[in-house]
Amino acid sequence: MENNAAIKKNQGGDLLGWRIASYILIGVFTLTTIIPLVWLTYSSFKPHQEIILDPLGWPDAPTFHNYELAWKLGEFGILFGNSIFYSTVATVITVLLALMCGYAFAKFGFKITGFLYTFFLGGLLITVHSILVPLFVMESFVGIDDTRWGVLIPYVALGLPFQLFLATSYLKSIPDSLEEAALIDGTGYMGIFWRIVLPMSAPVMATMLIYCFLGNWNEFVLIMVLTSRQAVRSLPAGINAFAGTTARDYGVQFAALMYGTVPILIFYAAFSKQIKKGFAAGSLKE
Amino acid sequence: MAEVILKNICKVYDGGVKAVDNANIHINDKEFVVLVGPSGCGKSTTLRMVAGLEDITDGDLLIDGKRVNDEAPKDRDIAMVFQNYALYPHMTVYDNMAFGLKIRKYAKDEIETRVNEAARILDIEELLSRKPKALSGGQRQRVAVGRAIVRKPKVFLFDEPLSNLDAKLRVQMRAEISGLHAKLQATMIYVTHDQVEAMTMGDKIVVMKNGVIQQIGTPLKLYNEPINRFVAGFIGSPPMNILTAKIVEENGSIVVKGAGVSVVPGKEYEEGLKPYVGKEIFFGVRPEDLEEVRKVDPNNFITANVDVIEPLGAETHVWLSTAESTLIARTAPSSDFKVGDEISFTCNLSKIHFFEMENERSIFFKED
Repeated sequence: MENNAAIKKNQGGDLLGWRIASYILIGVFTLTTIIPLVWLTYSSFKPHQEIILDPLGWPDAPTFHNYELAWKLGEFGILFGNSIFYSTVATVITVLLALMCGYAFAKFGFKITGFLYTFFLGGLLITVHSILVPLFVMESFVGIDDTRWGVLIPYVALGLPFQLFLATSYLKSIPDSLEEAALIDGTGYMGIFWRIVLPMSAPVMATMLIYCFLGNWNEFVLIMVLTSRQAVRSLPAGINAFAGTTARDYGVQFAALMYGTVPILIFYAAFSKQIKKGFAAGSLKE
Repeated sequence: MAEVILKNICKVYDGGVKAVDNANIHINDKEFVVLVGPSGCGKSTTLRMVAGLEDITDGDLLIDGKRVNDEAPKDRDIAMVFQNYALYPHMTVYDNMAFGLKIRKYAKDEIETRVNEAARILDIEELLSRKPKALSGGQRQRVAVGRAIVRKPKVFLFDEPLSNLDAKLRVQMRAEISGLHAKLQATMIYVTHDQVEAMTMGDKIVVMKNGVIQQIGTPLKLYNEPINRFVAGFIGSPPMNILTAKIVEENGSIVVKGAGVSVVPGKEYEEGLKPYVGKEIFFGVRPEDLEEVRKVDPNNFITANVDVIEPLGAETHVWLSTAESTLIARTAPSSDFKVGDEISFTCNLSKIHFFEMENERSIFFKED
């Protein structure tokens, strides 16, 4: 008994040690993320000279001038519109295609299913950088370079493998008997997809939509390489332009960065519950 | 309602596994037929072939005289109740029950009338606005049955619908489904591995083993006249005692001899058993056909030692063993046996069974 108590006490001590260490680690990580964000936020209300003279200081007279200038110079109206368009359209198409393919992979045991699924998942191994040049050449050849289609199609193609993986894993867990019941009730396979599978996929669909949307919203490399006209570019490319053209005005540059950051912060705040669920989805079995 | 005929139905899966071999079943209009057998015997596969959820490899399936082998499930006018209920989790009970009718484009009023009527029959009216996750197992099963009823199909199919329920609820739902059959007067095919369900619910029972139909008949026919050793052991709870014995001729009489067993079966069996003199057979006697005796009758006794006593209140089951076999006797609750006691029983000679050693067929089975 005494031995057991001693062991328990010892284990409790170890646990407390680990807990303190992990809290310190999380604290350091949080601070390194939040401090630059806070600094960026209040600095965006300071004029360029004030930032140079007192980089860490609070703004003497906070101004929205940087925001006005950045919006005008960067044509953020267009960039916002494009970002929303690319993120929304590519996300909807990707998630819908992933769920449709996932349904086929999860429920139709054709001989070729295994090969096709592996083939699709192989897409996870492709890095964007490795296909940039051939993709650009292909798009130029087809004539869709520097167009919205030229951005949307690669977004969907590159988003599909992971989304398909999420969709297939989830759809496999839907009992076959539900599908069979619907067949007997008089539905065809398309009907089953729209009326049974899709509504039942709401939990995984939320995760898929969020991840896909965030990925598309933040995407930078493809939009930089595949587009050159401001009219078809999105926020990340537009913000990057400030680094070159107005490099000497940090205030305006920070305001531009805020235009890119704030929507994402709002998005995280609005969907934090689903995002957390998404993180846990892979680690827990219901 | 309709009659269902399975003619030489076979199901062979990829790789040559024969799940159902030459099944012939004639299910009359308004009949309640139970397919029963151990796991993997092909009963669910047979039902799924009737439903159209499995392709039929060979043979003909007729519903109401029409060959439906190649018809889609929705065109067979059948409804099915699944073991796991298969309720659509995102729909309310009302929508679950109305789903099939909506798909078939029934008028809204007609749908409402039918769903409410089914809900009334099944006593689930107050559950109509709930989602399946807010229901108990028994309620879910009622909804699943309700979903089948509203369609007013020609044939109802049940695939082990009570397996997921607890014992008490199972007994209750068993009676409810039987009552429903009486009320709806519908053709029903019911699959179960529980022989008690089969005995209590079926007008006719189909016993299957390894994809082959062993025997088709009324519950009492199967109980009293099993065609082979498998059916004898499968139907009945506790099961029939099967003892290895030898047929010998002593003083001009046929005698069944085994370890602790000596039974002179009597004149009615002599003719049939003569070809087996000198051979081993399986001797079968049901637990309730053994009667404990204080004085051993040399012409009719089984002597065994008590291993386990199971008092059930209304009766007592006594597990016994001879030198070669184990057996079980159903005795009065007042029996005062103790473990280790040596007890002798006589057999009810009008209810004994003999099975061939080679093919395990009943020696005295007569086809109707």
